[in-house]
Amino acid sequence: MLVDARNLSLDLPDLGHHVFLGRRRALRILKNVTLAIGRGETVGIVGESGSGKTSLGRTLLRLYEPSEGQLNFDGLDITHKSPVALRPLRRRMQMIFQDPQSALNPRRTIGAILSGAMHFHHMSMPERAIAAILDRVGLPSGVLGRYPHQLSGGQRQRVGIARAISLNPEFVVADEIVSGLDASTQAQVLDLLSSLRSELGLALAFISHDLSVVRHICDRIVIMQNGEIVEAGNTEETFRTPKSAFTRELISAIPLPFPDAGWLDR
Amino acid sequence: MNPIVEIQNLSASSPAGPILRNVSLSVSAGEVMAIVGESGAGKSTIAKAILSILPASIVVTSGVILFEGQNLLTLPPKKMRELLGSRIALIPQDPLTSLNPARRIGEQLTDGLRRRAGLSRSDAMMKALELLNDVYIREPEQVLKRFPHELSGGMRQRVLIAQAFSLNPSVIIADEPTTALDVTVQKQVLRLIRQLQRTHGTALLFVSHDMGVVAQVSDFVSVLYGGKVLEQGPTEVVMRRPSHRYTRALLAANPRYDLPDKRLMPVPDDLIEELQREVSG
Repeated sequence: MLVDARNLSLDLPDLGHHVFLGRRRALRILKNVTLAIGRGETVGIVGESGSGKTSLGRTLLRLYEPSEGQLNFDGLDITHKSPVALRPLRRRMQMIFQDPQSALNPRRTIGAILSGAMHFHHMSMPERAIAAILDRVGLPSGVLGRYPHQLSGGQRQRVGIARAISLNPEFVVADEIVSGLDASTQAQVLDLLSSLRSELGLALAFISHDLSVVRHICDRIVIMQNGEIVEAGNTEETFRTPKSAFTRELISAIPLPFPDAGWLDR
Repeated sequence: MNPIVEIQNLSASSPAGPILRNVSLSVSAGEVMAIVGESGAGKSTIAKAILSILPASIVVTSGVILFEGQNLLTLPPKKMRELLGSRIALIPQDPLTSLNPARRIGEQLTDGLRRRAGLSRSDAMMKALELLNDVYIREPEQVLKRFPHELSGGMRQRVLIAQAFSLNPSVIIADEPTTALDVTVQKQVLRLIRQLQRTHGTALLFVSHDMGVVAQVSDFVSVLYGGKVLEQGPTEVVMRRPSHRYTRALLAANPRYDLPDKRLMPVPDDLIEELQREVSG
């Protein structure tokens, strides 16, 4: 397994707890989470707000340091590695953010954003390489000189994807990347993501609150509640025979696009 | 049945071009009319036009909005203010920014009751308790003393629903009321809105981008694109046997957990070109 998390726990300072001096009380954000993702595999991380799904994604990328447990990347124990020691690995693990509007620097052109990411990781970036990546994510080369605010939401998300894949990563965390988009744009971005992951053999952690989207794109899913994984399994089986009551509740709360007189009261 | 709100041939423009094109729709007492479309379709503009809160850059170029027979577009501002909140109410999208962060829930809920319904402070508090009970808030006495940030998103939305129904308006405009909520909370809130709307016989205009939500809460649907109503009819018919190609395309773009093998189809480019011609022609 490329990414292998065992019994991970994460404590973060409780920002709601005010102290005069000394340390803030810690909150346990993740509890005993075990999850492995192999190359070419897509795992959905599903939960409601506050379930810890985003924190899990960030911990898998070692943007947070686990408080307990062990995190391996490509066989290497990175649980407590220093930022400097992690740097050579950073190129290989990337993130696509929910809101590209705030994740892309508004004062830099798309060209500067893409070449900047490559430059940071000491990759040579002939213009041809950037043009090829733009083409790959379905953006016209004309966007290179434009700023993020001049693009549509769908185009910005394509830039977010282009930035992540331009570094040739092996592991990508996609955090709610289609949740702000119209259905049609969402379908396009999902289509792009699924062809890229098979082409590049990515290990993909797909974080979402939307079980319908997850069912379409993920091989396996984990359902999170209060920082814990309450159910994990193959996507088909989990939908067909959900084991936990919470999973059943989540599935039955999705409104389907045809009138069902009894649904609201069930 | 006489419509409570009847929009006839409403057109509106911004400096960038037309925003609404000849929109006609109506909603009667006890009915839910959904307005569905993608971003930029003009859904919220319709809601804002009814509430008379259009930004200065958007100008209504023609049409009327009849509310119980009178044209809201030509109503003096003072009369409009009297209607808003008491006869015409809003359930907004974002419950956090729609409540005053510096005032307790009790003060905000009793404001309208005291000023509009003329209740005394203690009667208004009694009524506020009753309202919170109606929206299934536990320990309502405690909640009345809280500030908005002390409540969860679902609780805040319930408070706003209570407020919207508090003066028993004839029509409520709900503008994407559950978009910011988790699915399980969304379902509870939708159930609540539908239930209160039925018991009060309120006319409800429900603005949403979500075909699933619309299918479950509405009696009628208007499908909007580029400021134009492309299809309108009973929800049952529009959702199960859509007549417009765009409605079918929207349904095809939506992922379905019950149809895992369905291929998600974006709205095709040729259809978008066709639509652009259709709405501007």
